[in-house]
Amino acid sequence: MPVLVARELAARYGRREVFHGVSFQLAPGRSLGVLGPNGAGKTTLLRMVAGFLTPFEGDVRIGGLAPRDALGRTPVAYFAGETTLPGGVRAADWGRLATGERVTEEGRRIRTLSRGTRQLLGLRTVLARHPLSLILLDEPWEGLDPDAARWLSTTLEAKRDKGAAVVLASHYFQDLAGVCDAYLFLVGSPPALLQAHEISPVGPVTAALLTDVYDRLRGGPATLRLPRGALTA
Amino acid sequence: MLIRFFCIVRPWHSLVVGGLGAATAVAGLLLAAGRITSADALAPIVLLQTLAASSGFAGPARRGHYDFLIASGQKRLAIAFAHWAVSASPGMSAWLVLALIDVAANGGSALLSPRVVTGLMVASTLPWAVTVPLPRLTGGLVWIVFDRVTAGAAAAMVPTAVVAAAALGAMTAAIVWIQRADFPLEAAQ
Repeated sequence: MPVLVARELAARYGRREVFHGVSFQLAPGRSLGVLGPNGAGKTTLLRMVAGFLTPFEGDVRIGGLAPRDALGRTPVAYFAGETTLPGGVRAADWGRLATGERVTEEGRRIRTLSRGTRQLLGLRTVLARHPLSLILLDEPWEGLDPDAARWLSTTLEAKRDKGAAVVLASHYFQDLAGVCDAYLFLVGSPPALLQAHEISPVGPVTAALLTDVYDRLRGGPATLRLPRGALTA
Repeated sequence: MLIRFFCIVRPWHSLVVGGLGAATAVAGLLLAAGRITSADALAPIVLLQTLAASSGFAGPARRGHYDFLIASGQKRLAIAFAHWAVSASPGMSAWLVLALIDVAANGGSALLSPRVVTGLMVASTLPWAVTVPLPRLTGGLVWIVFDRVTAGAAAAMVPTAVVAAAALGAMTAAIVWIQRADFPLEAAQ
């Protein structure tokens, strides 16, 4: 039975349609990557799933319940990035919120930390809960150094192995390449949902393959973002 | 968990609460020395309490500050009550300190009368409720302007029960708003 079901979701801000026709299911231990340019609705989609926003059309079910009813019964981790952390709070205090145990010894206020440290603090705090049935992370690799990025990948893999369904949103193809079982491209109308084996019948899904699919869906070469690795020597 | 969260992510403005602490200290000393009445001691506390309780919910929620709490499965009804309780706590603490000083110094205190307690609850609740969907301090500023314009006459003329009922109604409306509201991220719109 799927942990997460989204049916024909549509989002609007005033008269501006953000997306429509978004449908997907996610079983325990599976992961979905959400890709799209800035403003495509990645954050909006994740906030709909987490119950912060009511869909303009369609509905979301977590464990068969509407998100706001499900959150108390299904353990969900949601993090929308370091900018959502309250700057005046001490890092150690914030880190203790999930389980009461310290996730950092850092005593400074959050606003004084580097961006990457804030991002890591937020991720460590939401992922400290155990068990987790659903993990929703918005641009989770943003600002992380290589060690922290590796920690995140390992942690997500471990949580997934223990049955957590994972939704990851990013506009960097490199972040999600080879990580997910399915990919939702928030480009075009309606957005396209492709299984990993549909993108790459043999071998892992690479950033180049994701770029190729993205280009085809947009009807031209990707001009918004290059995969991170493409600019390194 | 709820109270702990709001004790860490404090909803009130630290300058207002600092002012409240200072006012309590000065009023407490003067009250203990018999230089002012308990009513005089309470007046600045009520004024500052209207500002402290005007903590605002929508702003921090739209900045994502409450994401962790809401996504952790806490009922929004409980979140709303906890937010109100922590928002009201600075002024309630100040009142309690002054009442204890008054009792110790004078053997009793008018600060413990039902009318004063009701008044303080109204001053803690009405501005909180008005400010829930609005920017921080809004309810308190409206309260102060209204009080200045009517020169305090409105409070004296309207029966306490009516004011208390209005505060309760406003609180109910605010709680319903918190339960039903959507919280898009400001940056994502």
